[in-house]
Amino acid sequence: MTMVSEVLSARCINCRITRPTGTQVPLSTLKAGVKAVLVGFDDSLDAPTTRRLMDLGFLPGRCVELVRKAPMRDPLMFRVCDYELVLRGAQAGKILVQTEA
Amino acid sequence: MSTTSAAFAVHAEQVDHDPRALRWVSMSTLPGTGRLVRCPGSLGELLDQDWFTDALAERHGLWLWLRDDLSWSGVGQQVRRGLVGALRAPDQWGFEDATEDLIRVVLRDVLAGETGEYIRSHGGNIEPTRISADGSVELELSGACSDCPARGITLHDRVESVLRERLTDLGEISWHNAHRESSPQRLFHLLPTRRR
Amino acid sequence: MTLRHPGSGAVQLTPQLERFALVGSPNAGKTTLFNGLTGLRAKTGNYPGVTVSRYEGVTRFSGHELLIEDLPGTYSLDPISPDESIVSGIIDPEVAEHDQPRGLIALLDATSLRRSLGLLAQLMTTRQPVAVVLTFTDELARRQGRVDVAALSRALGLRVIPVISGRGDGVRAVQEAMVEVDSWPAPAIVPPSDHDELRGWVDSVLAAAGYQVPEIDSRTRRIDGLLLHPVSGTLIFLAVMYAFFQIIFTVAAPMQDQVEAFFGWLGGLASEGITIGWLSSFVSDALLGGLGGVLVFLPQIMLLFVMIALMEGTGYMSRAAFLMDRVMARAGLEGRAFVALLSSLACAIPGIMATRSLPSAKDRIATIMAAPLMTCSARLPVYVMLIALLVSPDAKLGPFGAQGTVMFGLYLLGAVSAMSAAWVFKRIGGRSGIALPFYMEMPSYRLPSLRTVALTVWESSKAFLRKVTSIIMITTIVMWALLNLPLHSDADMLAAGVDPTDEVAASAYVIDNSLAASVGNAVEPVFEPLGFDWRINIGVLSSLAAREVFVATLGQVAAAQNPDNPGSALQTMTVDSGARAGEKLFDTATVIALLVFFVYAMQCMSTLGVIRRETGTWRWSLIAFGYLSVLAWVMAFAARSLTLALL
Repeated sequence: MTMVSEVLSARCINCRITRPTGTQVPLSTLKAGVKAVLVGFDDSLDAPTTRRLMDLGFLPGRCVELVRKAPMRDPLMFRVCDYELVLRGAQAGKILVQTEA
Repeated sequence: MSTTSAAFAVHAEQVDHDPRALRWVSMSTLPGTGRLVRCPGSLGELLDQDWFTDALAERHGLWLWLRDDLSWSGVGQQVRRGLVGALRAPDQWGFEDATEDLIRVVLRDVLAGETGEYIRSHGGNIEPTRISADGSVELELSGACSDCPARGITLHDRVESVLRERLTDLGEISWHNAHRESSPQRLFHLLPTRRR
Repeated sequence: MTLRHPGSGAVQLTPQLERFALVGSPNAGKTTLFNGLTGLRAKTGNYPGVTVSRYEGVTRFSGHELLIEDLPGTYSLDPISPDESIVSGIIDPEVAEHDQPRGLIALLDATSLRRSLGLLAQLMTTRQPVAVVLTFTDELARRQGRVDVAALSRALGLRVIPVISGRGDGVRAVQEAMVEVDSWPAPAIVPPSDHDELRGWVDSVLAAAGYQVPEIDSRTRRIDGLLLHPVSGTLIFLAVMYAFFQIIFTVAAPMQDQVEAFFGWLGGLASEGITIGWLSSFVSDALLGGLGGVLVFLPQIMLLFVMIALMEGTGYMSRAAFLMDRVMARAGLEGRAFVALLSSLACAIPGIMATRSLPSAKDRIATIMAAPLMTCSARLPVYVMLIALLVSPDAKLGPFGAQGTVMFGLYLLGAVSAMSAAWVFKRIGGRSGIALPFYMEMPSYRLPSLRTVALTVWESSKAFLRKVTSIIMITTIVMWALLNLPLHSDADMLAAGVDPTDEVAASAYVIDNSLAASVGNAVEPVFEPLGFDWRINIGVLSSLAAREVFVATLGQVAAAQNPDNPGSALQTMTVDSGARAGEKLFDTATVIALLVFFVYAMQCMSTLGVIRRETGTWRWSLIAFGYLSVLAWVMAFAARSLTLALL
C-alpha cells in the first residue's frame, strides 16, 4: 500500500459505533426539517462505505437534516455540509445522529 | 452551519520570507497574548524541549519559530495535535509580556498582506518608525499617498482597525507627518501652471 | 486497495507535452472548464482494464501547448472500486512514479466549499503542485454567500483562481496559472487526515477566508417543493415523459412534412433531369431514397436531443433520477440509469455515453447491454411502415386508434425488455466486490448557457449524423448495387420470357435474379420459421448496418414492382416459393414477427462501435450482438407462433 492510500484507509477507525446509546438514532428515522448532529457510523457498515460517506461530508460533528423523501419513500434527500445529497434508506439507517432537542 | 468543537479548528499559514515560522490560526481566541512560556499537554513538552526559538501569541494566532535542525514537514502534525490538545485547557497557559516583539511581527504581517498591497497599489508605502514597550506605535506614510487629502479617512483608519483587531495591547498609533494638513497652497500645485 | 498497473495506465494519448490533471467533484463545472480550455480538440480513450473513459485535450496559450487530462469527477482519492483505483493511481505519486502530471488543478465549487475542501486536503497530502480553481462564485454571491479569495489563498497556502464558467477571462487565468506552474506556492505542512482534525482545519480555513455559507437556494427549494412533491412531482414527471413522446410523434410532424416534401421534389428533379437510366435509378433510389427516409426523422431526433440537453443542463435529470431510483432498484440499477435509458429513446448512442455518470462498473455494463432495447428513433421508420401493413389508419381498438396502440405496445415491450435485460446482466455480473452504495448530489437548478446546450446536442448528434452520412449511405448504395446486379441484356430477358420494354416486368426480373436475391435465398433456412422470404431477408441483413436501411431496401424492391405506388406493392406482394408459396408476404403473423424481431435485434453498427469505445473492449459489443440476435429470433418465432395460434 502506498503512503497516501494507507493514510486514507486509516481514517474511520474511531467513529464506528458498536452499541448506539438511546440518543443515537439512525439518520433514516429523522423527520423532515429536524436538525441533528452526526455522531458516528454503525459498526455493521463496511469500512469503504463509511469512508465514502465521510468524504461526502458526513463527518462526526457536522449538522445533518432531512430535506425530503422520494414519492415512494426511498431514496432520501439530506442537507449536509452546505449541500444536498441523496442516499438510500439502507445507508442512511447506518448513520447515527443525535437530535439537538 | 456545522457544530464544531472550536478547540479543534486550527490551520497553519505561511509567514512571508520566514520559512522557520508558521502562524497557527485558531477559530477560538487564544487564552492570552504575549510570549508563550507555559503550555499544557504535548505542546507544553515541545516548548520545554526548546523545539521553538520563539513563540508569540496574538488574539487568534500563535506564532511559532521552529529550531533550525527541525522541519515543519516533519513535525507539523505533532505540533498541530499538541496545539489542539492545549486549547482544551486554556487556563494552564502562561505568557510573559512581549508587546514590542508581538507588534513588530503582526505589523510586518499586516503590511505584507492585503492592506499593504492596497497601499502599494496606490503608490504608497508604510514603515514603522517607532514601536514602544507600552504599545504605542509611530508609522510613516510615504510615497504618493503622503500628499493625498483622503489619506486620513481611508488609509489611517484601515490600517488602525486591522491592527487593533489583532492586537489587544496596542496603544496609541501616531502618524509621522500626520499633522501636515493639506492646505489650499498644496492644492494649487495640482493645477496646471504656465510656469515651468 | 490501490491496484498497481505497469506504467499506471497513464501513458498519454499525446506524449511530449506538459500534462496537467483536472480534479474535482462531479457537478463542479469541470467539463465546462475542460471544454473551455481545449475546445473541440479533446481526444477520448480508455483507461486500461476498466470501463472508464479518458479525456485529454490540448490547450494553447501564448506560444505554449499544454496537455489537460480531465479526470472523472470524484469526491475522494480513497477508491472503493477498481475504476476509482485507476484515477487515484494517476494522482498517487508512488503509483504514478514517472508518469505524474506536472500539476494538479483542483476544481472546487464555491457553494459547497466545506465539503470540497476535504478532497483538496487529500490532494495536498500527495505533496504535488496544486492550484485551486474556484467555480460558481457568481452563484455564491447570488445566494448571499461570500468568500475572500486572497484570504483563502493565504489560509490554504495555494494559488486560488476564481472562475465563472463560460467566461473567457476565467479560462485565460487558468492557462496563465498553468504556464507559471513553477511558481505555485505550496504550504509548509499538509492538512490533517484524521476526521476531527480535518473538520477543524476546514472550518478554520473557511473562517479565515471570511466564508459566508450561501443561503439555501430558495429558488431550488421552492421548485423542488413542486417537482419532487409525492403527488404533484409524480404528475409533472409523467407529464414531462408524455411531452417527450409527443415530440416523437406530433411536434416534429410539420418539420417532417417539409423534409419529405423536399426530398419528393428532389426525387422528381432527379427522374426528370437525369436521362441515363441507371444513374437516375441510383440517384432517386439509392441516394435520395436512402437518405430521405432517414432525414425525415432528423427534426424529431434533434428535438429530442435538445430536450434531453435542457433537462440535463437545468438539473431536472437529477430530479428524474431521484424519482425513478426506487423503480430502477427493482432491476438492480439506480436512478441515473433511468436517465441513460431515457436518452436511448432518442438514440442509443448518447444513451450509452450517459452511463458514464454511473459510478458502478457493473451498473454501467448492465445499462449498456439494456440500452439498445429501448425503442430508438431509428426503429420508427420501420415501425411506421410495418404498422401500416398490419392495421389500417382507421382501425380502432376500443376508444384508441389501433395504429397508435400497436406503437405504444412496441415501446412498452422495448422498455420492459430493457429493464429485464439489465436485471439479468446485473445478476450474472458476478458477486465480486462490495455493492457500491448509492449516493447522488442534487445540484441547484441552473439556467444552462446556450453554448453548453449546443455542445451537448452536438455531442449527441455527431454520432448519429456520422451514421447517416456514412453507414446508411454506403449500405444503401451497396444494396442498390446488389439489387441491380448482375446486369441482364435484352436477349437474356427475352429468353426468360420477359418483355424488355415492359419496365415493371423488366425491373422485377432484375431484382428476382439479383445478387441480393441470391443472398436472401441463401439465408432462407434461418428465417423461414419466422415467415420471412428472401426480400425480407435482405432487408433484415441490410439493416444490420442501420435499422433505417430496411425501409430503403424494401422501398427499392417495392418500387421495382410498382413504381407509382410502392406501398400497395408491399401490400400485395406474394411469396415466391417454399412453404408459404402464393400467400401474401406481409400477412399478420409475418408482420408481427418482423416487428418483434426489430424490437430485439441489434441492428446498428454505430451502437456496437460506441459500446466498444465506452467499455474499452470489443467483448461487450460482441456479447450484445450475440444475445440480442438470439433473443430477436426466439421472440419473433414466439410472436409468430402465438399469432398463428390465436388467429
